[in-house]
Amino acid sequence: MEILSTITPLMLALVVAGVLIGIVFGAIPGMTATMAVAVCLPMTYGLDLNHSLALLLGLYVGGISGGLVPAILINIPGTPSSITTTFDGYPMAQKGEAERALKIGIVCSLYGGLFSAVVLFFFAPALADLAIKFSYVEKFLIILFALTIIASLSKNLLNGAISGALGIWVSLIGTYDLNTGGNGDIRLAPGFLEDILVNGFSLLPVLIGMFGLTVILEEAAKGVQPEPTSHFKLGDGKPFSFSVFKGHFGTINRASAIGTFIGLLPGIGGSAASVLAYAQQKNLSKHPERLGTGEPEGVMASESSNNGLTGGALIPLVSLGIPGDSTTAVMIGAFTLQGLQLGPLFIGEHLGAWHAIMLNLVLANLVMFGVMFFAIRHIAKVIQVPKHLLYPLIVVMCVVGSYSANSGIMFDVWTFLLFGLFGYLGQKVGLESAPFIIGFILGKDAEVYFVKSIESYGNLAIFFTKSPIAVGLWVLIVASLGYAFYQAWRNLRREGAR
Amino acid sequence: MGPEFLRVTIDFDQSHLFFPRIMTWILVGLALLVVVARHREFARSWSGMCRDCANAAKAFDVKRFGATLVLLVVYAIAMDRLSDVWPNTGLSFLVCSMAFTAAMSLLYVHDLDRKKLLTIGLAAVVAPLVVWYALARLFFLTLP
Repeated sequence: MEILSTITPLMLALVVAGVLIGIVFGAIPGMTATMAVAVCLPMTYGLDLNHSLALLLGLYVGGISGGLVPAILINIPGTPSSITTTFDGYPMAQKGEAERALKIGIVCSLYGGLFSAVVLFFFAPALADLAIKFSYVEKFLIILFALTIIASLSKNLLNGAISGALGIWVSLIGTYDLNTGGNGDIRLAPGFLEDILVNGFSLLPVLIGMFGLTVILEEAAKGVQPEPTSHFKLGDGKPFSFSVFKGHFGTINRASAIGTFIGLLPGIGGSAASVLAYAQQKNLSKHPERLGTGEPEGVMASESSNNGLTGGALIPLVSLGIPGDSTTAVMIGAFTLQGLQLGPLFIGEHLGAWHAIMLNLVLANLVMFGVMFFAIRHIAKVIQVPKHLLYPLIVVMCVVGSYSANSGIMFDVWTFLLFGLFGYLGQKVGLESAPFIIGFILGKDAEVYFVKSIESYGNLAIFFTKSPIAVGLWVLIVASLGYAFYQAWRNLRREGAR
Repeated sequence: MGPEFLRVTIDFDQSHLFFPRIMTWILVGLALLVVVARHREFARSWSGMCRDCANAAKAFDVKRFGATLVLLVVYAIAMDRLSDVWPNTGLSFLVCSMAFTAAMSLLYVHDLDRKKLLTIGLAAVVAPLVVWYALARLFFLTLP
């Protein structure tokens, strides 16, 4: 219980603020938990790690959970992960059960979040213990595996692969760092930009640009349409009762487990988790034909899985230093600001920070439940916040975040603008932000591990023969690529049949 | 150790180019693969482009998109220039953010009326002021 003594009033206030802001971002269609974390990152510059985590995990949980509000009330998912909540949530609202659907979703979000926190608590240290034994060779293969998974589970295999590879390529711009055994020479920068790009592009402005500005540019291109309004009155219709969960314990546990597992896989968003959980529910339901017509079990499967993602995505982050999704990728920025290196040694060397992660994740889920369950009628109004007031403020926060990332460098503001535009144009040609960002984060490490492995052993065969772990990782890499090719082949056949 | 044909040595002076070259070739290879795999798709979209262009142009809000880009660039340049006038105070950020917030809100708003104008004016003054006070004065962050 010593861990509870670390709770301070400021920490509680930050969790509550984080959850509330996160819910606002999650509830407004087009804005995501990732954007919430990216925009609020500058607020953590003046905080210590524990308090930063309180705010960021509150934003994460609030952002993922808030997506169910518009999904149920206006049939538009607030975040990609609540896409399947619309399938049964909106029909329930049409039957006059809007508040019931919202509360079912909120309870399941809490369950999924706590389920994943328990898995995180037990699984992350075990994975870190295993990863401590990794040499440069295995570390490189882990990154390669992460990148193949990202590519294979992207919307399109080739686009995912190019996005990840481009992310790595951009991360290599600048000096080959002497501190990591490099020769200190600059590469990939045109001569006239060498002075500016000597340290390459900073992570935070790139992240903030791609997850903050890109969305605003997309909205601007669509004309920033006024917010859709809900015509459902909460409080009418069949009231919520906990008895609705009777007989659905298996559904909620299965969906939470699917969400947590998908979270574990690097770069896979919440939409994959909820779609998989919903599809599984349809396969196993006693009444599959009713799903999609306003069945509570559809909302349960969707919401348990997308919140199950939160703890799952933190597992590779804390134990391997590899983000599980785009939001945890942004969180790496907060750890970098505090001078902490995530990876196999993190839990052992920073036990306090590890406990703070666990504590804040649980607190964030409980606060999310308290806020959303008891104040849902007020929270529902969030979807009508005018975008013309919100977007300029988001840009201002993004500019602060970029400028302050390296204690006041104007080039970082230009980086933010450049990558915001790049993210917008990239999406038009099929480039995917999450694989790009994860490639960008892992690129420099991949280079160091690859080059050091070759410098140490002088032969490429070492990547296949170093240890049984290396062989196991190759099996996983081949399996993920095999799955990707199978999926691509199936899609081609489907298109051919049409 | 290992077969001879897999032996690789890295010249330390050129080591900064070793991995970037591999990544460049991978990117070129993937790009070629895209062209080969999707040349039919590209050809189809090219032939249907004229028809699609008209629809896309209708959906694309040139005014709001273009003006957003211009506003962002002007905002960044103005903040940079004014920070030489008021160095290390964050006042450049404050003044430019107020103007930027007002301009962007006016650009994005639909059906502007007196009430909306008042809200925009109020938000443009209060929001940057709160951000500036909280970050520059309470958290001592460096602002332009």
